Amino acid sequence: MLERYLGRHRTATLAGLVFGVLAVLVPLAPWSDSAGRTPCPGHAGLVVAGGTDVSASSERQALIRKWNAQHQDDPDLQARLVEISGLADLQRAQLAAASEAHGCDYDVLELDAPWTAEFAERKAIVPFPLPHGWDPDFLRELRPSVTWHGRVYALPFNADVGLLYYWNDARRQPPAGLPDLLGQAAGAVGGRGFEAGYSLQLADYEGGTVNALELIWGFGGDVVHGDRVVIDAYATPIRSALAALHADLPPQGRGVDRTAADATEASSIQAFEDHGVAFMRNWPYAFRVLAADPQMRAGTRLRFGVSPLPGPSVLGGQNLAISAYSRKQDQARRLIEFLTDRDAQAELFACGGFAPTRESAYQAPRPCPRSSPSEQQIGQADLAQLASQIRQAIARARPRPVTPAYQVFSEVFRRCFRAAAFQSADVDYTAFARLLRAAYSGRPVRSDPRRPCG
Amino acid sequence: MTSDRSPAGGPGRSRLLRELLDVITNLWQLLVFLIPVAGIGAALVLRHLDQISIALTWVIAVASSLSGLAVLAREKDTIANWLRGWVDGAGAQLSRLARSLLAFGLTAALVAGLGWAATGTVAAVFGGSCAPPIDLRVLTAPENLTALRRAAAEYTAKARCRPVRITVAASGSILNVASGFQNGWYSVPGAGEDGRGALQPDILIPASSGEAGRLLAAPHPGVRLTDEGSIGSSPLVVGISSSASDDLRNALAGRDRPRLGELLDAARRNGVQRTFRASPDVSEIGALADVDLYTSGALGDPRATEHALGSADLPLSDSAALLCALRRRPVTPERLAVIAPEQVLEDYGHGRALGTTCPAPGGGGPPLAVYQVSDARVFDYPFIRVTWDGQSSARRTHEIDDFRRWLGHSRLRGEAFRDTAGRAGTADSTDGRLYLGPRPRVAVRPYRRAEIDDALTRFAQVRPPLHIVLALDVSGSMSGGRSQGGSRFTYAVQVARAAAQTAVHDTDTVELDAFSRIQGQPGVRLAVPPGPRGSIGTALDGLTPQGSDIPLYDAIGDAAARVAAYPQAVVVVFTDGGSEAADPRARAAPLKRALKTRPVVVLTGTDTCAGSAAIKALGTSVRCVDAGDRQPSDVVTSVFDLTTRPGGG
Repeated sequence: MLERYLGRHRTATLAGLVFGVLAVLVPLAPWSDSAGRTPCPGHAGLVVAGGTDVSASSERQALIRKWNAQHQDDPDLQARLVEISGLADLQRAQLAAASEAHGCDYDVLELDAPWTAEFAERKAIVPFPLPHGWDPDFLRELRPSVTWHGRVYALPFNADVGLLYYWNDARRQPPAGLPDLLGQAAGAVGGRGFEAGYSLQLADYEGGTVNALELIWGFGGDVVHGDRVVIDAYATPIRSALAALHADLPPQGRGVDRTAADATEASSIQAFEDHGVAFMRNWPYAFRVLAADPQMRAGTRLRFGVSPLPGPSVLGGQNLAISAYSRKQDQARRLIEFLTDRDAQAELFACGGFAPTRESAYQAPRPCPRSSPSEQQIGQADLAQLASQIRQAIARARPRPVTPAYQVFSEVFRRCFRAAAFQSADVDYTAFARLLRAAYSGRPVRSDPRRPCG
Repeated sequence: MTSDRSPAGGPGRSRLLRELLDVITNLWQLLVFLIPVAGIGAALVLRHLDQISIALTWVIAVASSLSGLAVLAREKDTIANWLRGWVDGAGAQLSRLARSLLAFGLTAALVAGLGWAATGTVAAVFGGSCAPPIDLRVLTAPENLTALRRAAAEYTAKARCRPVRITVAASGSILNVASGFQNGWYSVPGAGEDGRGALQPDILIPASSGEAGRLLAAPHPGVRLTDEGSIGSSPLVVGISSSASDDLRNALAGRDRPRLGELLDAARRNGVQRTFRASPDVSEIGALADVDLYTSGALGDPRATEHALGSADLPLSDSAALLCALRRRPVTPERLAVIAPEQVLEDYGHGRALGTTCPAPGGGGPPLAVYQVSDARVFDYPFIRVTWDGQSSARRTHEIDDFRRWLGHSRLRGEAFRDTAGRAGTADSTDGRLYLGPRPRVAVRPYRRAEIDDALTRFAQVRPPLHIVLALDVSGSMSGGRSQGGSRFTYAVQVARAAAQTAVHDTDTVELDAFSRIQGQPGVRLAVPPGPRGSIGTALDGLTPQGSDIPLYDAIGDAAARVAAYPQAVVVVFTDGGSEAADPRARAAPLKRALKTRPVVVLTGTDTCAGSAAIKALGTSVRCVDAGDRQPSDVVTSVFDLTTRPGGG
C-alpha cells in the first residue's frame, strides 16, 4: 500500500530524498564553515604575533631588526613583532580569534607550548617543513610540545621550566624529594627565622595548574599518563599532596607557605626577596630579578642558590609556527629558522635571559655582546651555573597534557584541585577522573552543579 | 485511491458526529504533516547550538513521520475523502499537490532525520567531542570588568558543549579607544595593552551611548562598528563617608535625591574634606563624570573642579582601582566622597571584586553611604558590534547575536546594574550575585555625544599647553628585573608610552631624553627633540639599556635646566634610583636651589621614595612616585595629577 502510494508520487519522493540527503551532508561539508567570511586585506612584510617581549633590552625586537637589516632589499621579508599582550589569556584569545576567522594578518604565531596542539588540530597552523629532518641540536625534550599526531608544527623559540630557589642559609642539603624539601622548609620556619617555608603559586590561573601538577608529581602521583587520564589511580599520593596544603596545620608543621592559594610568580619573588620564605618555586626569569637586587648579594657572591625542583617540573616555553592563512608561508618559514638558529638562541639567553631551546647554547654559553655593567655583575660563572641547572631541570621535566582541549582541561583540573585543597571539599576521584577525561577529549563536561567536582 | 463519499444530508446528530470526526481527522493529518516540517526547521536552528538537541529533535521528527506514514497508510481512504470534500472543482488538483508535498516532506524528514540521528548517535557513542569553541573578545571599561566576566562565564556555562569562549579585557580612556580603532588597534609594534592594545574586540561595551556615537562618527578604516542598544544602566552617584550621614540628612532636610551641586556643597559644609573621581585622562567614567560636574557647576568652574578633585595618594586611573585602593587603606576619621557609577560603589560596599586587583571577598576601607542625585546622567552601556575586515564569519556573527540576545534579558541586574529602563533587580542575591533590591527607578538620561565633546574640550582647556620632558635612565642597572616580571627598563618604557598616549595632550610638546654613562657621549642625550606626542613612540621602541649609571642629580639637573625657558613645564625622570655614593648629600642643596620647576621622579626598581637617601635629601624640591606593582596608567595619573600644579607643588 505504501509502495503504491509512494510510487504514484515518484518525483516528489525523489525530491524529498535528495533534499533529505542534502540536509544531512551540507552542514558537514568543509566549505560550509566559510560562510559569511569577509576577504582578508593583507599586509606588507611579515608579521610575528606573540606576547610582550619582557627582556630588558627587547632582545626579540633586536633579533627582528637584525633580520630586517640582513634583508633590507626585500620588502616582503621586512618583519615586525606585534606584541599582543603580556597576559597569556589575551594573547591566546587574539591569536585564536584571528585564526578562526582565517585572518591573514599574522604570518608567524608565537604559541605557548600547550596551545600548539590546539592550533594544529584547528588547522590554524601548517606542518613545519623539515627538508633535512629534525635538527638534533634542538632539545629532544621539547619535541613533543611542537608535535601533533606525529607531525612537527612549530620550532621551539624558548624553553621554560620550574626551578627551586633557596636562601643559602636555609638549605641543609639538596632535598631528596618534595616531601624532604617540605621538611627542610618547615625546619627553616622553626629554626632559621623565616616566616614561611616553601612558596609556590596556586592562584586561579595557568600557573596554578602548573604548580598543582608539579605538587602531585612530587608526591608520586599522576594526572595524565600518555593520553590516558589516570588521576583516579593515584588517590593516595594526591591526598598526601593535598594534606601538605591544608590550612589547619600549625606553621612549624607545614612546609608550604599559607598564601599559596593566592600566590603568583610575582608575589612569590617578593616574599623570597623579603627573606619571608626560605624556598621558592619559580621560572628561570626570577634569577635575573633576584640577582639584580643588591640585598641578594654578599659582596660579589649571591646569597641564594638555584637548582632543579626535587620532583619533575612542568616543561613550558613558546613555539613559533606558520599561520595556515599567511600568504607568505615560505618567507615565514625562513624567519622562524632564523629566530631559532644557534646564534639567535645563544643571544636570546645571554642578553635576554630566555631559556634556550638548543643544546649548543647550554654547552657553551656565550657572553652577551652588548652586555651592560649590571649584567656583568651577575657574572659569567653564575650564568653558566644557571644554564646547567636549567638544562638539568629540563631533562627531568614533563610536558603538560597534550590535547587540543587543553584550556578546558586546565580549568576543570584547577577548579577541582583548588576546591579540594583550599575548601576542604571531599574528592570523589572517580568522578574527578570522569570530568577530566571528558575535558581532555573535548567532550561535554557534565557535572552536578551542587558538587561540580564530584 | 477509492472514493467513499458520504451521503449528503442524513440525520442531524450522526452528521454532526461525522463532521466532528472529519475535523479531528483533518487536524491530526495536518499535525502529522507539520511536525516533521517543524522538526526540520528546529533542528536547522539548533544545529549550531547543541548536537545532542539535534539528535533528539530528529528522533521526535522521525517518530512523528513514521506515525504519520502509518496513519496515512491506514486512513488513506479517509484522507482521500477529506481531500475530495475539501473543495469542489479544483479539489483534485490541490489534492494531488498536497499528496506530492506530503510525499516530499515525509521522505525528506525521514531521510534527514535518520541521517542526523545517525550522525548524532555516532558522535555521542564514538567520542562525541565538542566542536572547538570560537573566541569572542570583549572590551569594556575597567569598572565593568568583573561584572562582564561573571556574566560571560555564566553564559558559556549554559551549554554542555561551549560554542564560544569569551575573553573580557579592560579598555582605556575614551581617546584611547578611539585612537585604537583609527590605527587598526594592533598596527604599532610594542603598543601593549596599556596603549593601543592588540586585542581586537568583537564587542565593545562603553559606558555611554554618547561615547558610542562619537566612536561611530569617527573614521576607522578596516572596521565596522554597529550600536546594538543598551544592555543595562547605572546612574552616577556619590558615595560619602557613613560617618557624615546624620549631618548630611539634616543638611539636606530629608530630601532623598538632591542635585549634585547641593549634595557636594552640603558634604563640604559637613566635614567632607576630599572628593575623588576617576581621572578623565585615563578613564572613560572620569570623563563622563566631568559632564555632570561641569554642567552642574557643583564644584565651581572646570578649573576649580579639577583642582578640588583627587589626590596623588590614591590611584585615579578608574573608579574600580580607586575604590580598591580605598578598601586597602586603613580607616581614618577623615570624611570623603567618591563620585562613581552606582554599581561600582555597591560592589565596594558589599565586598565584591573591584577590577583586577581587588578579588572577592574583600572588606575594609571606610564605609560609604550611596547618595542618588536628581540631575546626574545615567551610564547606559551600549553593546557595540565590531566587525574587522578579514575576521568576520557567519559563526562569529551568530555567536555575537546569541550573546547579545542573552545579555538583553537584563542579565546584568544580578551584578548590581539596573535594567535598560533604570529598574533595579529584586531577586535574591545568591550564588555571588548582587541585586540592588527594591529601590526607586531612575530615569535613564544618557550622556549625549555633544556633552562629552564639550566636557573633553573643557577638560583639555583646564590645563595650559605644557612642555614635557620624559627622561629615561638607560643604564645597565635598568636591565634588572622587577618582581612583577619584566625589567625596570621595560616598565619605564611602558609608563612613558602610556603617558604619551593619555596624559600628553595634542597641544603639548614633549621631548625624550636618555641618560647613562657611555664613553665619548654626554651623560644626558636627546633621543627625540621637542615635538608632538606622536613622535616618541618609535624612539621608545629603539631605546635599549647601555652604559653605566650617572649620578641621579646630574640627570635631574640637566632635564630641569632644559625646560627653564618654558613657562609651563613638567620634568619626569624614570629611574631605578640613585645612591648616596653617587649623589652625596652635599650636592643636594645646590641642586635644590637650581631647580626652577619641581621634577617628578618615578622609581621603577627596588628603591622606594621613602627609602632612597638621594631622593629624601632633595625634600619637597622633587615629587617622587613609587611605581611598585601599579599599572602604568595608575603611575601616569599620579604623575600628571591636576591637583599638583604643572611644574610645581
